[in-house]
Amino acid sequence: MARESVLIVGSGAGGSVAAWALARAGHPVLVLEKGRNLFPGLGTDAGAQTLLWGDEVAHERFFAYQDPLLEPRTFRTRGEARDQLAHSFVGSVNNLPSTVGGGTVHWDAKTPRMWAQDFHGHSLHGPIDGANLADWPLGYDDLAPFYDEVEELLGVQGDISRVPAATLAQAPRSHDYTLPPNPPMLASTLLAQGAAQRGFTAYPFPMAIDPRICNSCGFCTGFGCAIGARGGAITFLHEAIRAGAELRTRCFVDRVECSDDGRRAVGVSYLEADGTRRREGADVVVLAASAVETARLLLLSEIGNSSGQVGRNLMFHYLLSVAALFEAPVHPWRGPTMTHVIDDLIGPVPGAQAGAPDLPYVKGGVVEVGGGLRLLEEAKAYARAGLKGKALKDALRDVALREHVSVLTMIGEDLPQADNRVDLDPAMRDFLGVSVPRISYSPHRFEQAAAAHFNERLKEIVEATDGAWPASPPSAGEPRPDAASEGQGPFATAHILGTARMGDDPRSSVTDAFGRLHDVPNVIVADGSVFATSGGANPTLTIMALALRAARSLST
Amino acid sequence: MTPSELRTLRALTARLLPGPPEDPDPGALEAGAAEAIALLVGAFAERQPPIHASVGGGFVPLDRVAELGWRIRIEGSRGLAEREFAGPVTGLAETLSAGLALLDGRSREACGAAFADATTGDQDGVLDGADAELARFVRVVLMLTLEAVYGPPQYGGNRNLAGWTPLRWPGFTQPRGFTAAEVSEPDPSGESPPRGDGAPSEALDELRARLPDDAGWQSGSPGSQSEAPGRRPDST
Repeated sequence: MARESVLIVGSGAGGSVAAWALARAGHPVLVLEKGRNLFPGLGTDAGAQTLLWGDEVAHERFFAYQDPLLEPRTFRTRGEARDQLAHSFVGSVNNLPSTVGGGTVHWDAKTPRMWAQDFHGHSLHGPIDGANLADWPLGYDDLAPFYDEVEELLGVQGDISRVPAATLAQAPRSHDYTLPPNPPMLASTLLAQGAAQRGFTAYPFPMAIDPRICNSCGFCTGFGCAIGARGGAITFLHEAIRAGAELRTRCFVDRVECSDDGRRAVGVSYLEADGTRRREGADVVVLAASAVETARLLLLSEIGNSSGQVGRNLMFHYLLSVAALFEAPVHPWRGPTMTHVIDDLIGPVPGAQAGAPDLPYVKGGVVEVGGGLRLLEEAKAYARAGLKGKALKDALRDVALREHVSVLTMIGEDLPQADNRVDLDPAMRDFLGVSVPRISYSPHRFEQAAAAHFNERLKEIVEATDGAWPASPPSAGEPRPDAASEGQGPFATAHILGTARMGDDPRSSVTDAFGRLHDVPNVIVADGSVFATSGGANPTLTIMALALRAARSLST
Repeated sequence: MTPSELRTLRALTARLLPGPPEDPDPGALEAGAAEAIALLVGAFAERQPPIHASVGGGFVPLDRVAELGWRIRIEGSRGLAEREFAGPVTGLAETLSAGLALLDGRSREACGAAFADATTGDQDGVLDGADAELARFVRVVLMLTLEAVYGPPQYGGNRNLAGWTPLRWPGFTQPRGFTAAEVSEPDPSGESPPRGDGAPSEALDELRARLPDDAGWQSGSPGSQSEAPGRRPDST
């Protein structure tokens, strides 16, 4: 019997894994991607090359990103939404790369697993007023085999003998990592020693980087790997194409088309770069455009929303950074951004103990140990601080933050809130005339209380670090994407989650445990949209594992 | 960009990042910052618009979509329907041209000479006395100048690695990268950048006091809101 044809929207972490699994299972697969292909040779015998390299200026020129002049997003706070303001900002809002390979073209390939407690937080830890907490409809054990398989294919480095017992209890592993760790970065090692002084364990960060290829050039997060040392969506897309999948770029899908009764998708409608409209039929449609764009597409298509939850419960991660200023130069820019991670501050911590007696508990997340500034970033930081002229050059010579500053960064859990959401901006259109996604977002007191509490823990680690002292920028008002918030708060991440949450009850969730829309079961959501809660960990590995699980549910 | 505008831009960038004799290391003039900015503004006069550099030289061709975005960013929306779907946009070319004229006007008012003909002292006086409009323009040029001097030389600035060499910044080091010892161990003494007195704590303290909340410690924040080049559609 012929396998069902599958059309996948988006070629990032989720779409690539789904394409790989389904093409290999014999499904005809077509992947539509709105970005360009910056990987010549992808899917050919020659292998994928890359046009990305350690170019700090490309980063400023939206290479691999959607151009906010062509595809703007809009933003408003929840307070502004209550005041009926259409939007207060137009531009980039937590944009991921928009290109073949999606967010994994810029990641530093950190692959922590979510913890067992993350999937059942509502039951285990209880509700939080004002948050829309829910258990996931699956548990760690359901996902574990898919974590294993994705890790194996990506090639993940780590050292199981150094993983803390609490982590192994919450995220049990059936086997060691497939590759040994990279050379430890000096700044990460020094901060790890400080953490040990405080009773915390910093251990080699699991990451999809091949230490036999990686030469620690330092252009990792925010950059394409020029030497193919990092695994990612490209790993899967290459094999998917070789197994028969077709990839088309610059296809801007703006509608999932359904049968007359609205119960079955029959394909998609999309615009090419010149505005030409095309249609493609398919037996199954997989949405993997990332949480903002997938919500936008569902809303444009007017499907999947009988629960009213599409676009709601938008979560980022609430980043918390404390800088360590080292007396001696520690070249924190050499290496894969950072090489260590701390899991001891994931929580939960009782609210009373965290200085927030009004909350039953707060949660943090994994702490990335290391990372710093490169020269151009340092120069721009001085310029933003008001320096110019010889004073700016003096600072580059004599202060040299790039040599002396490394950071601890917590990937803080962000609670789902019904009114933190993506909807369609009522007025703004993109260059193809399609309504742009509007983000309405304000943090919950939970995230801000957690940040205040864990900020002190991170500072204590730095204070215990030999030759270093802490600096953390004070929080300044309500976070906004247009305020310079680099390194801090919800707008400093490209982790975008939760706009089509999964659940067992079609009245309160958008998809089932396999990402199938409750309303239109032959549409599968295979990206961060389905997260019921954000957890406090880098989400890409989990997105991939969920996508693989969803794909396998189709092909077996 | 006209020769006169380029001359003014050179003078401005020289105040934003001075070179010898005022500063011991090469500055914007030596690194070719103004020329690199002019190259960007004139991108569409080039056979391969110099927007996204290839590591081996040359530039990655823009496709139809990327070209539209960059034409809007540099040339402005010019009242064209295909560029004004999200409102009018002032292009970088017009921003620079108008800003340089403004700078010259302010210089003439202040000291009776065009900016490029004024003494460095008078130039600094004009910049220090800038109102919001002029300050906004200077900020755009400062960010472009930093990219030109401290960014990769493929974009036409950082000539002879004038931005990197004195600071011992290696830039993109592939295929060499760094050895395990270079990653994990302190550098042998004397090889560590920067030069200076090797005791940065006082300078760090001083700087820490001066840095506002938004100085930005974290590397690689993706898609960050760049001040330059170009402008986004106005909020409505």
